[in-house]
Amino acid sequence: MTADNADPQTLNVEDRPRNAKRMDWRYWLGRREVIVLLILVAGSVIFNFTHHSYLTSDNIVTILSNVAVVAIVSIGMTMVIVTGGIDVSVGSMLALCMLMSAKTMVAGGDLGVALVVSLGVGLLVGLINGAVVAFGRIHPIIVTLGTLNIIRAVHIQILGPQWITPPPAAHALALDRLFGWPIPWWLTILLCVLFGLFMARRPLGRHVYAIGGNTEAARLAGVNVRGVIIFVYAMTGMLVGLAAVIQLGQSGTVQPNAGLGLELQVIAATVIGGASILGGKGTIVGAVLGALLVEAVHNALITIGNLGLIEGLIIGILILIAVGIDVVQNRRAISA
Amino acid sequence: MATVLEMQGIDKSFGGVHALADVSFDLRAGEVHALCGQNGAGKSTLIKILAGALQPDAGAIRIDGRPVSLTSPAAALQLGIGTVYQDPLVYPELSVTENIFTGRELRDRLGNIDKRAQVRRVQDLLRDLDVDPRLAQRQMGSLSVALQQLALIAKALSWDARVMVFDEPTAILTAREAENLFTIIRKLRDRGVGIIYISHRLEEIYSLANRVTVLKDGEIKGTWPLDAVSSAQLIELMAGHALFESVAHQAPAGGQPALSVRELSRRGAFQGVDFDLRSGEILGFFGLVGAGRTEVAQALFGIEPADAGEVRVNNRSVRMRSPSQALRLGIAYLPEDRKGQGLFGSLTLRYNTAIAIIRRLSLRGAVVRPRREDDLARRYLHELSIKAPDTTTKVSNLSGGNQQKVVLAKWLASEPRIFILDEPTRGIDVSAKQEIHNLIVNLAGKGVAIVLISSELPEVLRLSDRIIVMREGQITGRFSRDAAAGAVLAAAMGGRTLQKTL
Repeated sequence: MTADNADPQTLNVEDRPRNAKRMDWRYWLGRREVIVLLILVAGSVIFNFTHHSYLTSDNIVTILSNVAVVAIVSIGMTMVIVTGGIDVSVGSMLALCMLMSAKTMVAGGDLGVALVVSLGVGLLVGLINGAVVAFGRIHPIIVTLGTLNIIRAVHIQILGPQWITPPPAAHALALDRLFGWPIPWWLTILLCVLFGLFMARRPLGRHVYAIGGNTEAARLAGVNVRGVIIFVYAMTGMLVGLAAVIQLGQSGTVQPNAGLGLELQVIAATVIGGASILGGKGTIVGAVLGALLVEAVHNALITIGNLGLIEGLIIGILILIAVGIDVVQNRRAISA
Repeated sequence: MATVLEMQGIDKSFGGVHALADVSFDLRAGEVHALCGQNGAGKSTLIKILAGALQPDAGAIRIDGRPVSLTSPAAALQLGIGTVYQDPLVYPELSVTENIFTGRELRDRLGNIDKRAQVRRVQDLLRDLDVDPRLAQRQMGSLSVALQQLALIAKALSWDARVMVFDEPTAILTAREAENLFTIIRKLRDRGVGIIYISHRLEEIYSLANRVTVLKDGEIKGTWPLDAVSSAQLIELMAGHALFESVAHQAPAGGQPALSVRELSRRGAFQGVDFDLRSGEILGFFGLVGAGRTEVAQALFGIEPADAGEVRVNNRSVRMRSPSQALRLGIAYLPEDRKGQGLFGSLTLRYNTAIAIIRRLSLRGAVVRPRREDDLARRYLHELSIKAPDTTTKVSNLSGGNQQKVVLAKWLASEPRIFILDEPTRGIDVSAKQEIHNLIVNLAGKGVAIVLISSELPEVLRLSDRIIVMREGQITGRFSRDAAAGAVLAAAMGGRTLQKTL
């Protein structure tokens, strides 16, 4: 029957080669990571025609160096968003972690100790976020909005009227290079690979997707829902802790408004990278590429001149395009 | 009888797939016209076109002989076509009256909403249907599904509907609620409303409808008066081949019970539930919706633990506290709420089938092996003949029957020794249903102990070795496999024969 062969729904899977999808270039062109990467590369090359200083190695290093904070935090945010949650407290958390690590260094601790302190503070706040979300059955946006404000208040209280400037040793992690690339970028790549593999290849990573796909079904399938939720918020906290030390080295001071608005940049990167705010969908690689695209736009606008307003416009449009692609792809899938 | 609605040569394609091909259909005033077909036959598409939610690619629609175009849901309502969907779409925070008048509120002279006039109008409509008029001011979200459905019927009538479409209205109703609905449908019919009635339950169609139209693969197979076709013929027309041969299954005699339940109770849900279940046995649980069967199942699977009583699995006393504990004991539970509790809609088929045993599939329980995962998915795709283009297809893109098979595959992968199936064939087409029935029997043949919860009596009677009937949280009857349908039904509904069966 010809009709049977024409309708993909009636085709049996055995009749198709196992990797049919992977061989199909249209499948790859539909993947968000590929789309973002193409926009990034094509956009940069085109922009470089008019602004030759853009694709110089110096400027590329700047971009890679500056993207690290947002990219690293967006790795954690992706996991949280995939569970169907959100963490808007990452900006405040970053400030508090910066502050505590700076204080550690001012008190005589070296960079390693400061890093441990920062990771510890991040982990603690993440655990609190995760525990309240998991056990309190309160929507994550409310929980983390609460911690956002509390932590910011604590931060400002501890900081007092004076900015803190840590000793120059703080710059090592942020500004040193390894094989020509900035260390923060190497860290970003390392974490991207690590967490990317975690999400794709660890049973726990599967559970993260399962919870976002359908929490109740995940529970019935034997997934430890609370444990996984606490885990993703705690991981996000730790990643913020690491990002804080990088940010501290890059900015050199701790100010009251440190990390302000970071959550929005991170969520933007995650959504542009393909994560669905409804949960169940999103990849680490996508989020890091999303962060890179946002940073590239930021850098390009600085190259042109000071165009702060336009940056918001462009990021906004990118987010809408990302959501638009989602909607179109979903409609196509449904009507197919 | 005059023809009120006519559809002629309706065509509709979705991206190359012909959902409806040259469909012609007519509805007379004062008749109930049943629309039959498997899932995917095109019923939903046809209904959506009538409701104005979809536009046909070609064809004409006439009401009272006048050509009309149903360009939007509002246009369809204005032309007197009302639709009641399977799951009522409501504003749960608003009252019934507000739900009915949303978007076209009655105004007083100052332009404010005239609440009193609205309530009066709705009360009149409800009285016409012999429904308690106090319903008008209840909050929609606080009502049962059956009452919400009633409110939506009233809403359609408030537009002076001449055509009413019911899309599987009884799928989520209890038997008694369904009876009430039928009374109302008959009342509408007698008033001259033309009714299109879609259902998977043939008994309903035979008791309600005057004519029946069968759709298959987007084409009309024909329209007949119901006294001209037998139900076997109808099923054959829908399926293309004969189905429902009786099931040959013999439970093994004797042996230790795999599952033994004593005096199990949960306050407000069920009391004193006692039964034994042996390996290879199918124990049917029949009752009306809300009789407490699902609650017992959820207690046995650790979702909502019981507060008293004893559960023994393989002769070891256990306290069920969580689904993961139940899974470790070799119990699986297919929930009745497929979308809410079974399916990971946004994830691929492969994820769905592997999730419950992902650690076991992984290298040393730590690293997922995609190849093994894919093999698993392929195996079940083949065994359950799930129709999907690929193991990486998102399951939300599959039809209801195939989705149910995916959920089944997830649990089968855990290789349960005790399998609790809660309404395993609800809302799926006849051929998928038959396949699932065969699967259940095969599982029992392999020694799996099966609890089959179903509100469809024929299903319970056909498959079960023994039947337990529950009513209002208590066991009200126990039957062997050759029990009379009437006696089982009576135990479920609280009829007079109850005393004899106990």
